[in-house]
Amino acid sequence: MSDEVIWQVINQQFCAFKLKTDKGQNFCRNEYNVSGLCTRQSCPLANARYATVKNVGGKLYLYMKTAERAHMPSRMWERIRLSKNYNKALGQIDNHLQYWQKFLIHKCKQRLTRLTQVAITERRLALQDEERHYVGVKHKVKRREENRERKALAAAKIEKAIEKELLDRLKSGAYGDKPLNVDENIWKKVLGKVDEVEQEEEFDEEEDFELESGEEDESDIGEVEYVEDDGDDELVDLEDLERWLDDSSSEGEQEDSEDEEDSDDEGDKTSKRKAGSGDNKAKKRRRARVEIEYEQEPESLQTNIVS
Amino acid sequence: MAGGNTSEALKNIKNKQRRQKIFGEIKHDKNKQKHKLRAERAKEERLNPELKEERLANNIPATIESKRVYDETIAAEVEGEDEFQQYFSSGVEPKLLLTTSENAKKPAYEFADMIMDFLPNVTFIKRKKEYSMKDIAKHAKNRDFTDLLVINEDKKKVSGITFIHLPDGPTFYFSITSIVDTKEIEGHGRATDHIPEIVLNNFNTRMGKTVGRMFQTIFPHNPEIVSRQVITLHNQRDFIFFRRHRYIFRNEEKVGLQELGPQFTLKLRRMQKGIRGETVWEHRPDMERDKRKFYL
Amino acid sequence: MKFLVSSNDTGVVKEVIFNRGTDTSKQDATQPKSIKNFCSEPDATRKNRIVHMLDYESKFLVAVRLGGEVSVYEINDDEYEVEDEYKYNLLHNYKLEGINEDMPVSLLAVEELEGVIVAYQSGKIVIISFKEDKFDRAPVVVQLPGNKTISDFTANPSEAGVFAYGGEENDVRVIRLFEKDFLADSFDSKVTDKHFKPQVLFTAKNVKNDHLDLRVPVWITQLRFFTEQPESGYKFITATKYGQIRIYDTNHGRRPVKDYTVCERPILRMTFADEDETEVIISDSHNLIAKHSLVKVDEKALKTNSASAGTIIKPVAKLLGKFVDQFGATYGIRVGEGLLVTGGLDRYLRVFDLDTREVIAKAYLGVEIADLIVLEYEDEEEEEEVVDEELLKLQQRRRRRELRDAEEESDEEELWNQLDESEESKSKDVKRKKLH
Repeated sequence: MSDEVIWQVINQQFCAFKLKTDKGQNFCRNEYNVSGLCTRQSCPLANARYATVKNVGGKLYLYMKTAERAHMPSRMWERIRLSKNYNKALGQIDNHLQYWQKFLIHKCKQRLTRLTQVAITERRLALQDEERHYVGVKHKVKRREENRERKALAAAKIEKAIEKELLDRLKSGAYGDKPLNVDENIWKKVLGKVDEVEQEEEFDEEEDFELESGEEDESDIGEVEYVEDDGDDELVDLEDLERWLDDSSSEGEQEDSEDEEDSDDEGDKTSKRKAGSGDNKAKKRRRARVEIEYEQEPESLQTNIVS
Repeated sequence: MAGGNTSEALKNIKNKQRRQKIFGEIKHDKNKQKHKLRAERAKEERLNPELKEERLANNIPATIESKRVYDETIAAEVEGEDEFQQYFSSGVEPKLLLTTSENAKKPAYEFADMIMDFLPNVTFIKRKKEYSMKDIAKHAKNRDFTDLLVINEDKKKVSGITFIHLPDGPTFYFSITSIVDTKEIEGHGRATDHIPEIVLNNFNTRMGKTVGRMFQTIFPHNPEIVSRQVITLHNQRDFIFFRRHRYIFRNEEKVGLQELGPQFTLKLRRMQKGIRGETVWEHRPDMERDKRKFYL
Repeated sequence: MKFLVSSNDTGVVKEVIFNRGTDTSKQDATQPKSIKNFCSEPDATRKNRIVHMLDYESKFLVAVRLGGEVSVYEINDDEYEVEDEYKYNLLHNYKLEGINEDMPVSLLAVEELEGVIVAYQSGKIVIISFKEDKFDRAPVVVQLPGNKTISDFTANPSEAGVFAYGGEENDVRVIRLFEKDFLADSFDSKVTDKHFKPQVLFTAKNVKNDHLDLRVPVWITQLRFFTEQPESGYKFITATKYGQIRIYDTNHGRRPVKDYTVCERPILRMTFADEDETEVIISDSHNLIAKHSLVKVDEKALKTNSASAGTIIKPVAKLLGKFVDQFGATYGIRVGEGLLVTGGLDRYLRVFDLDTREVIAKAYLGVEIADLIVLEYEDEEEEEEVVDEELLKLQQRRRRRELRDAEEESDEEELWNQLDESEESKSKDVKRKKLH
């Protein structure tokens, strides 16, 4: 079949590779097409003598077919590996297509240029370390999350939770002995209530502490009971509290210094713990006070997740 | 039974408009009855408050929170140390570095401005394309920053924020939704420059505790309580609501709150070891299939 | 089932005992029998956490700690119940000089040396011999050739003295560390690093450039020799940080025989899934644990789209299934008796069935897991046996108490000796030696 007959069919009747547009220019989807346009010159089917450039698995080849091999479809295309060097590849095309039509030489070179450029872009993209990986989020999921957020917000009752937390802090004495964030009258009222509570707490803590201190539990337990029973112990503790109120009348840097004290005290505590049980009562009481301070350590303000 | 009867009776009415009319009447009656019942009950309870208490004690509504899927990590005590230990033990004050994703547009900078308002000791740098997050983290580490925050912006919308704790991680990525600027909040107050208190609510599971500790480490140790400002990160059903308020103790049982803004909602999407290293946890859409299962 | 699990957060070893069907996530399911902390000496913290563990001939538990320490603990025989305080005693703690910040990457038992080899990231390996259960020999430090960081170091199971290693931009090298006839007899205190002259037998060559003509980066993360080796040469499998698994046969050139990209993220751990070594299990830095066949190949599993080269289709070792339950990266993987035991950053210990891939048991441990070893795959016997055991336990306890009462004033050493005499314990020698 002559080229002309083929072209007549393709052009006038039907071609599977033809992509018709309403702009007057048809495209060609055949992978061997050198320009991508459906024209007489660049049709790979209607030209017995044809050449193109293809990228196969990252390697560039110059494909050529001639009328002499037209009867053997399996060996129709002759391919030549093109050099990685763009200039050399151009030279190769010139060499192999020496007496071919100017059109094919030109289009092959154009295609080579384009493929090289695309590869360069791709390489640059591949080397970029992408910081963000995009994942599709389905509308359904998005909507579900929006709804759940809205419902969670309603269920959270945030303001109530904050109020409760703040009152807890105030009452547990987390704001220190002379809090700057509360009216004096209210604080006095709170303090009046807290006194009793704190007393109890203190004993609890002492008990815990004793249990923690390890081996010599049994000798200590007796003392705990003694402290609990003793009436004037309360007085002593109130005294302690008062003295302590006087101490910390200043503000600002005071907190820092208290911090330091605390850490010192803690150091003492551990060493004492190791030293064992030979402590007298006075030391005991001191320990108990240390525990209160620990309660009031400003850090505990922020550690509500721990509780 | 009555319901069955009505629906049966309604079915037999062939005329649609008539049917609808009758249905409306029935509904109206029911509503009326209900309201009457409630009014009566309210009256009774006003006279006799114990009844109300009893009723409330018996009628505890089932909530998603109370029906939460059992999580053994809530009860388990925290063992050992984590990467945040240094903040708690050595009293290092936080020093933050804030930046945005590449090619950030106006919203990202506006959001950065918003959060710099309440984050103490924070430095903002404009993001340069040639430095990856890892590079920035390395530089920040050498300059004694304790945290690196990167705002992520997509299509001119702030969509997330990455927290990298320095020097050795971990890395958290949160998505951000519902950003409300201070100006848009009605009756908002004006914030002062003091270091706020911080309230962290409901960070219960092992993961939640880690997240809570992370939030703790970006605020200094000693809040200035003079200012009566409090920042809240409230976790509810894995959504973390950020709010800022000024409070006043009205009496020993009542607290007044004034919102200072801004508001936004965070949701944990990913947690990684080190600086964007191995994944510890990552959110998948299928995790939300059971709406009573929560991870924080 | 009985496991030892190393904890990242606390630096100790947890002993976990549970049976099939255990699930701590369900309140009504079986709960673990016991989870206890051991090996807290020497001052275990996060700083010197255990990175790798090894069960050395069921006698010792060898634990490599961060910061240049190697601790050896005793594993007691399970013929009778041992009270907790006598379990996993510290026998010796090697402090390695000049290791400090170096990250241990691998821990191997080497029969010929009657000891272990610890490999560090910098390319240093430390040879420790426990010959005759003595711990007084100084560890020998050998620098591997290559002067690059390594990520794994492994031994050839069928030929003594042959090892392989690789790492970041450090392609696989097979070396002979010592000769076949190198006997442990000669490993006395006089042996120094001069006796170990690593001799490179094989150096791998990187795979060919990809379709964009870009060099494929090298970062070996895991290395395993096949048990069945060809008559001459070596056959092994590697996993990389870029999600590839590669099979090498040194008789077929320096490039890998097979190269499959199985996942997108770094492969952290790889282990053979069956005795024929036709299947591997890999875990990546995300939450993937997958089983791949090395025999069956999925011809069209990997598609890469390229604007210039079109779609490139590559074969992949057939994916036989994924193990899904975990949230985070998995560091501890052990396979045995048809079971897969995993533990990782999500603080759970899980036991999967290898074939059905179902979770057989899982337990929340509260600590991040760096490595684990399995002491027993069998469930603990219930009912009748328990009575006996408990009786034994009671007897022992009584005996101990008597002893203690009798010799309350005596110092620890005497007590130990008494105990040793009364108990026909296998570990008797060891204890006494330690106390000398």
